Amino acid sequence: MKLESGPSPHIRFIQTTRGIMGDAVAALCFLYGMGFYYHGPRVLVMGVFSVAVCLGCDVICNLIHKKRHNVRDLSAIVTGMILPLMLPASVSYGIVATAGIFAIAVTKHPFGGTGHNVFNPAAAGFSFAAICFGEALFTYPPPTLRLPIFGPMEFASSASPAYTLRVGGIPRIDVMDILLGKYPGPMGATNILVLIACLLYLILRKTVRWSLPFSFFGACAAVACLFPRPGLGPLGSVGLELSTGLILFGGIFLLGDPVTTPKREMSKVAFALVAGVIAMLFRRFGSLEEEITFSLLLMNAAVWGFDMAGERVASMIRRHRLAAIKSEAAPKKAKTKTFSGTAG
Amino acid sequence: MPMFHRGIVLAQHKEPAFSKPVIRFVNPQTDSYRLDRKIPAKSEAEAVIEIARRARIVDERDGRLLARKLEKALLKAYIVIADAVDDEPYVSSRVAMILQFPNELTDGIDLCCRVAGCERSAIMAYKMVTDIETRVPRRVNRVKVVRQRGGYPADRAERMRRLGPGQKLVVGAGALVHLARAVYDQKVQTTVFVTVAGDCVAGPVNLEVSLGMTVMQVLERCGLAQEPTRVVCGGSMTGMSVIDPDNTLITFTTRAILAFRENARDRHYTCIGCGHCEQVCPEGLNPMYIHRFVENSYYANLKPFDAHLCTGCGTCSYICPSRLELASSVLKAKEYAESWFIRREEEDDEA
Repeated sequence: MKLESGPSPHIRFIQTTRGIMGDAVAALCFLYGMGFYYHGPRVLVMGVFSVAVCLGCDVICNLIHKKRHNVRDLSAIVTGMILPLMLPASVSYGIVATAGIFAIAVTKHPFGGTGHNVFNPAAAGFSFAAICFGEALFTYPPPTLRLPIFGPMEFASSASPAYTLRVGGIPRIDVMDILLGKYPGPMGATNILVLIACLLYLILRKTVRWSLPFSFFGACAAVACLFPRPGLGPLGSVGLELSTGLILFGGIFLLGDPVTTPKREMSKVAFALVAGVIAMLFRRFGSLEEEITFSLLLMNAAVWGFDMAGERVASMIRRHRLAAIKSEAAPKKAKTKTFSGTAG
Repeated sequence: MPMFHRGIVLAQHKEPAFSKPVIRFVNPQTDSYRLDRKIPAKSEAEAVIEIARRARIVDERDGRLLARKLEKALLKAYIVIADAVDDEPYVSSRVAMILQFPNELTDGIDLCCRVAGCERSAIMAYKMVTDIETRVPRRVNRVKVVRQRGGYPADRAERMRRLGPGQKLVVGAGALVHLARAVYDQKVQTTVFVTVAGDCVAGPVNLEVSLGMTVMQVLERCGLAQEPTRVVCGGSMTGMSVIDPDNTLITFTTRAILAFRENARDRHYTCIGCGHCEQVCPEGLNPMYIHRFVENSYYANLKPFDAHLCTGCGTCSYICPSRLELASSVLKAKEYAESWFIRREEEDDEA
């Protein structure tokens, strides 16, 4: 009998890192399904291509670092699946490959690979592509146009509601169309109902903590409600700002990335609130219409600060609690002492 | 945002060992040891203490001699508590005493009450067990069974505080059974109650095993369904792993022998910083950062992390989806913190 020794505990919870990543993959698959429904098989091919690029890049980077590639590590697959969903369905394969390579080779591996990256790889890849190929990234095909898998695209590009909002107009879309994602926009980020279902699934599976996305959406909604765009009421402003663009998608899949967000609950809430306000500021005053990724990258750099601040507050609370427990025991002791003193 | 977790709910796996009768698996040579009938003592309480000393009864809770504990509580404690809280999965050797040896258990409690000079007594059992077939009764021979609520780790200190201030005599249920046997049957403690369970054990059961038997003998008595990769002496959450079961002996504090088989492929993950460890820590610590600092020998930043508050319950390692050994890192940091930070605080106070 060959036995191994190890420190306690000797039983483990059933959830693994692979399971957490697998949940994200499962949720993203639904979005690919919706993309397939609206734009045809090109969306699926794009997804597979992006995953292949990210995974290949991950393997090569591991080889360069002389590390053994872990087959059970699905993080590169998740990055590869998130990236195309933030882009229009008509985007060329070259852009997807560039974004994927930037995400893995520049954002993830130089910092130490899975679990050590400071910035969110998918957000960084998207931001890089947005800076390099701005025009192509924000030209959306009409929502129900089936696109050819390869070859040139021919369509009359239509303005996305986020763009209309940015130039000062009011998008005229039916509420039902917004919920079902029947308007021009990033191929994974328009299906509001499916996104909400994904969020619920991830929260119920305990893959994502509820505090992070909800405080992020809360901050975005508060800014949208307090400072609505000209010509919009507070309620309409909240609805349009949250449902158009990448706010909802980013709040679920980019902010839900455990590596690049704070760990303690109160740090998470503070982080998400600040990220939401900055995202809304960028959206209002920035030069591009999708700038949540920039706000997220900016906040990623501050995660350590949020964590340490949270830890200091937690340390204070812990010491207060200890003192309270001690004082709870102490006065009773004092009472018995005085009693015995009077008796003596 | 609850910072202090009230414990996590664990699947207890206490059946089928819990409901089966306790089986004797003893060495006939040592089992026949008896005490002298004549005990020189001034009072009844002192006689009980002397018997406990001569019978060499050890409290399995903390490994201390029962006689010493009784001496300390002599005519001082106001309540006697029998500790039968088995909050760790698979282990049921103490709570089984309530079902299997109720008379001896309550006799032991009565004897302790006489030593302490008090009338109040209680048996403490764990409430958060849902998968058992036999219910733990509310009263055993007129002794009330107090139920410990909450998940793992059971916050005994909090429950004790609710029982009121003053000195309490807390004794393990197994030691009380042995005390009753020593006083009424003149038996020396040569056995200990052990749960044999785990996913590799063919017939999980609670055994009464002679001290000094080997772990392998006990495992063979219950049969192995498959080859285990890890054999554990003690609880599943806090026990010690055994490499050489042929030469490891059963001692006074062995509560369980567990055999597990685990999938080695699940051990090649890196930390993804999910923060689950921080969410389940009953003391509100942040094991993930402590682990990262200890791994990189970066002890200078550990101060705000309060590693010295760790109770060693192991919930952080249990929940970790990357299967990291967080608990042992935190204990390492605790050792470091106790040796350095506390000394420094004392120096500051003196200055």
